[in-house]
Amino acid sequence: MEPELDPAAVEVPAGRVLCARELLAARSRSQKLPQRSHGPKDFLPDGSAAQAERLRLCREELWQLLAEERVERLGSLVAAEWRPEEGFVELKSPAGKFWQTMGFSEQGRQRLHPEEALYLLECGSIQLFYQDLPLSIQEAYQLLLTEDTVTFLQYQAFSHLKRLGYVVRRFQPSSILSPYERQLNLDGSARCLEDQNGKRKRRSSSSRSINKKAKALENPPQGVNETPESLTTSSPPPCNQNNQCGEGKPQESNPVKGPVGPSELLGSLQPWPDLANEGVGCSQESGKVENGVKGVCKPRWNFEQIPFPNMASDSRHTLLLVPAPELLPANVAGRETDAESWCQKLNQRKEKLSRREREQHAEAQHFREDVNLDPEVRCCSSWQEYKQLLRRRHLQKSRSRPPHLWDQPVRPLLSPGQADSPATALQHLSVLRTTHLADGGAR
Amino acid sequence: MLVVEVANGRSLVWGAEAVQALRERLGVGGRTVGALPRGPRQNSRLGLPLLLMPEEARLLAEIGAVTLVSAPRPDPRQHSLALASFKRQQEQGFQEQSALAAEAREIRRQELLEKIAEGQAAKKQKLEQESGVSESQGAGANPAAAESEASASQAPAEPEEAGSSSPQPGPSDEVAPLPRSALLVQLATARPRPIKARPLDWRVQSKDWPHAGRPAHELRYSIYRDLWERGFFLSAAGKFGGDFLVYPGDPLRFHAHYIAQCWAPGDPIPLQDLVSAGRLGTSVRKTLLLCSPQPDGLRSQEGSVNVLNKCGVCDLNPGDSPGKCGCLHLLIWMRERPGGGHASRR
Repeated sequence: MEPELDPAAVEVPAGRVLCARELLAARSRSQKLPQRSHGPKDFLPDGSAAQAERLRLCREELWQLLAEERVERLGSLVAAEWRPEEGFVELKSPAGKFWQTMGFSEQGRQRLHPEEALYLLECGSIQLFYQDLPLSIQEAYQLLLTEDTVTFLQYQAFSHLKRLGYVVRRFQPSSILSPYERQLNLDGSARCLEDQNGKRKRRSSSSRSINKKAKALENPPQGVNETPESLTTSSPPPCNQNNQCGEGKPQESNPVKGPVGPSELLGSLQPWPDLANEGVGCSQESGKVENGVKGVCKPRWNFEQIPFPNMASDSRHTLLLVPAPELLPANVAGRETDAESWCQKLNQRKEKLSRREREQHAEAQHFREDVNLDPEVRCCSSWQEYKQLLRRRHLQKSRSRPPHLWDQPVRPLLSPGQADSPATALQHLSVLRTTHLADGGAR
Repeated sequence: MLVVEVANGRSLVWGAEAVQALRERLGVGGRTVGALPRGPRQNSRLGLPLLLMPEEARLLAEIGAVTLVSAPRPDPRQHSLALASFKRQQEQGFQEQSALAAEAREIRRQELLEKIAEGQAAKKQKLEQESGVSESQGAGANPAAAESEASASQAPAEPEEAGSSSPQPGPSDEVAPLPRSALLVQLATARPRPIKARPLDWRVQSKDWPHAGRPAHELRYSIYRDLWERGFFLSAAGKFGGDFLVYPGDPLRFHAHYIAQCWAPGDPIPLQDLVSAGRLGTSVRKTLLLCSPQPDGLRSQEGSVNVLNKCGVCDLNPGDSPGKCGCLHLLIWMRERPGGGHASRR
């Protein structure tokens, strides 16, 4: 299906190519953005010349803005090549300022995701090549925005957020702290993550040095991935990648409640500080270090394959075996324990309520009536019996009502004609009786 | 004849002249979705490409103003030719730019010749007064060279700004060659070479045009066409919960008057939707327009919905406590619009 041989094929005209003179002239054009509408908008078109003039001005500006082409110095452009088979863009010359927040390194080479590359192309920071030919923006949209890489809509969202100033990265599930981790106050790592979600701000020099160190540790110890048990002896630079330690910790401390097996706890945690600083924490992607991301990598331990004993009440597995001696430090001996006694002591501490909560509890107690505490209700063995009980109780209650008050038709005590003053009405009601105490006393 | 490429149901226009023609001559606006070259890091004004709604693209194709083509893939056989021509173009451009840069530098020097001469004389005098003649000779040559360097670097296209050029400390008669890194390069927006593409039939469903035959699309298109023929300018109304925003003229100078919602004939409209859309329209000062095509397909009937502020039944104002009269505190006022049926745009 070659379009060339197709007689109905239509020729798509080429876009505008600037000559040398135009290129030079482009350097001296204004950099300010004109305002969108000149003055407040009109309500209805009335065919007046003034309206037409304003409209013409607005339109002229718009066409001028749209017709401008991107002109850059060759020296300030970073050369990049699109690799469709691998789905990323590789930088051929060293990256500029955008490297702090975009892109990733793999095997010593600088790479960009397709959406990042396209955004940088639109900004005029890189020159994208495909098979040695530089791509125009139109061709880049066509080649880079496919179903398997990034769709057009996803790119629109990405570029919109980038233009607003945010640092937008690919989502990594390991970067989200679980509520349990947050509860354990592993916020040291959380604060690292906040940086990457906030607006683009000046990166501290420490982070840059960390990134460089991480890139420098390029001998990805593949051995480590295969044998997570063995301790490596690389000297750990102080890092802010301790969220990796953090992620390991809660998983390990789950089965251990209370001071049981402190040796085991220590033993499991010991390897973390040493191994955490490889920068190779990602077991799946060997040696891949993201930029602008402070050490958020997948943990090296595959927790789906490490069995944790289930110490919940459904199937207690409380016999904890001796930890492997190579996991423990030299002078600590591990022992096996039975955690049964500890499990029984769970949840036995009295809950300390604040004064307010206690008051609330007390108040609620007054009004709470549990139906099941009633012995008569307990005697009922079926719903019908319960209904009968309810009916009986209702009758009893109504028996205490005097029939002359409750069962007869309502008759007014006073008709409007009978009482013409409040005194007579009160007399009738016999609420206040006039007494003549003083009369008798005088005699 | 304008050509618009369509890929995956999305029509993008990449040429600024095409965008201008569509908007000025035909009243079809579209929406810019790319970065603006002048300000690529802001969101208030976007640049090419222009995204056309499927209804807009179809209308343009139906009236014959535009040819829709499937987005063409680059042909591998043309690649070597294209590469050779690109290299040639770049070399040529480089030569031209060097020549132009030298020219500009020369012009600049000529302009400032008088000033340079004056400066030189003044400097000479000053130094002769202060120190010996030999020192003034040495100092006289240097400021001349330094001034010509300074004047050269002031020219906007001069390459000596970056530290990559080879500075010539001698007199400015020698032309400093333009270094490669100072070459100006255009990052083309649209494809810089012509290519053949297959025309797209919008009546037939295909991978690039999945809208054909879909009832939702047909409905919206009939409404769009009808309103366009009456002379309105239409754009997408995702922000206001409708299908189209209807402007009396170009959106650059006029506010929208209506939010058009398309409903299939016979479709029941839930009252909550009506009420919420009406309230939204009132709060943004636009009238809600309910549109649906007539069964004969030629005209469409529209009723506008206005939500008044007073309950027409019990005369309560919105400030009073509700529930007193037990009825909804709005009056929905339906009014029929006279049908159109013109084939051309008024």
